[in-house]
Amino acid sequence: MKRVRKSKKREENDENDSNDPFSIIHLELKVEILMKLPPKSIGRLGFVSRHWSSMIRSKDFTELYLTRSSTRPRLLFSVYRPNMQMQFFHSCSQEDPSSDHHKVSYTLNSDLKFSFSPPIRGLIFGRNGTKAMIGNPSTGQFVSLPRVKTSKKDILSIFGYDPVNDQYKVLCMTIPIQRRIPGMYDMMPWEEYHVPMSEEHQVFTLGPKQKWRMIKCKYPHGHYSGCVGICRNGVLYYLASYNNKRSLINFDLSSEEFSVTKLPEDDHIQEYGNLVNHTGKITIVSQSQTYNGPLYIWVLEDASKEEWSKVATVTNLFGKDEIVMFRGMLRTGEIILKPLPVPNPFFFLCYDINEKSTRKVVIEGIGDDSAASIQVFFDHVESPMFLPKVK
Amino acid sequence: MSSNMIMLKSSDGASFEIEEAAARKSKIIANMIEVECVDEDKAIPLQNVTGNILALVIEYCNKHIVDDDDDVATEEASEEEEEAKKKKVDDWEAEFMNSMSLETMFELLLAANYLNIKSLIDLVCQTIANNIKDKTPEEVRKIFSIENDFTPEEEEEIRKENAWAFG
Repeated sequence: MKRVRKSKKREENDENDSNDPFSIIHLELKVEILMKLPPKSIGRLGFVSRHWSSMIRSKDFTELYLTRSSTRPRLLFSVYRPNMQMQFFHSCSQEDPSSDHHKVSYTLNSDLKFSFSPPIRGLIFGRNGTKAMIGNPSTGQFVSLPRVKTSKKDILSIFGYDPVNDQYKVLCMTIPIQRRIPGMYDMMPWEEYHVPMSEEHQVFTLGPKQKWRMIKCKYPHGHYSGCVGICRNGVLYYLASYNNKRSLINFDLSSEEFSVTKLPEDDHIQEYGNLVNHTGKITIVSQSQTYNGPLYIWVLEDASKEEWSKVATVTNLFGKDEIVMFRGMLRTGEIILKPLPVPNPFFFLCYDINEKSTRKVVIEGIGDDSAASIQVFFDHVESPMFLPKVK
Repeated sequence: MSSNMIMLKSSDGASFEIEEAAARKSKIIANMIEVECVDEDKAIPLQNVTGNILALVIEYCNKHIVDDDDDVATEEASEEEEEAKKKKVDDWEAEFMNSMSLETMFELLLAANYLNIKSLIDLVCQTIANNIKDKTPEEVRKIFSIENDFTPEEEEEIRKENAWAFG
């Protein structure tokens, strides 16, 4: 009780301090000033005083900042340089990549290469084996999570946000490690190899003193290595094998329940395909594994009726000799293609389906190391969010 | 262009004559004009704004009303012309803000807020933000005379656990 009174008095003093020009303006204007700062500065200025800390760390502040930065989507790159044992993030404006560059380096386990999942409201989840972390590449804050509870397994992890409970969660599941010839696995059509069932479904909720919690899955399904899930409106989606058919698995982050949606009866999509979040609808883009054939784009029109429609077939993308890998879709509907092998200087291609035109986006300063491995993320939204201490 | 002139009176009694079109940059004054509470012979009293700050506000409004008129006159200006014009305004704003102390900026911000001039609020907030963007928490405390109300123990823990923020 005594303590509360003391801090209240302190706050009043703070407000009445006539030497502080900041104290003569009301909260709304203070917030307006802080809104104009980059997240890196906001992260630092949370340590000015208790008053500043409470302004900056409030949920309203984060939400308002996110709303504003969502109008300025960015490209985010995770770059790992094995020769220099360093991993860093680089981001730039998506509309005009030649302007407004930010770089955030970090040295967390610099000898380990973390793979990241697509950013969710500006935050990213990274994993190397059972080591896991959540980070905010805009402020440079990264927190380690407890190790994933498993041993010697291939892990699928998907990161998402539950808007109902305002919680960030990670879903992990494992399969026994496959003995296989390198490269063979990727080339094999879907039904020709046996997909082992996922086990050890576990959830981590971002917050102090949280642990991985085992959960039950009523739909035995098998995921495959390298599968990437996406999150939309509080549901995680990923492609997996259910009853020997390739299916869309849904995981509701709020209820922590799984469900299954059938894929369209199409040979091609039964074999290949990437999940993307496009114009607010779950979309599967399939491309043959030789990376030079046509792209087929399927959209889930009505999840409750399991109704899919093929919205586009993109052919003759480029010359026959060019190998381009589908990487995602922008909000604008443009398809992102990454040339193989990774070019130096680094660039990717944006293909406009309607205009049938391609623009080349060159990113300076990240592809100058041929050994570097680069992950690209689109529609990244800068967040000033301060992550809670987990361990 | 309307050449109607109106009078504004600051809290410390100074009177300023300003073109109505410029004064309309303020939503509050524009509203007063709309509902005709402006007596042609009488000055509009602005109780929350001192004379020196009001002079700055008027300088800003005059500058921007001229720019708005330019936009109308040269609707088919080329992209380069548009860019050159934008640069001219940006340069003027940078110069305008550059001559100001932090105290003045805050008073100007309050006045812009009271008079409801959105573009001026944005300009002042952005300038203050630019001033503190690369500063450490210590420097910001000094600039704003903010008391560090963290205990030395808390401060040490903050530094230890949030090295990312201080790098």
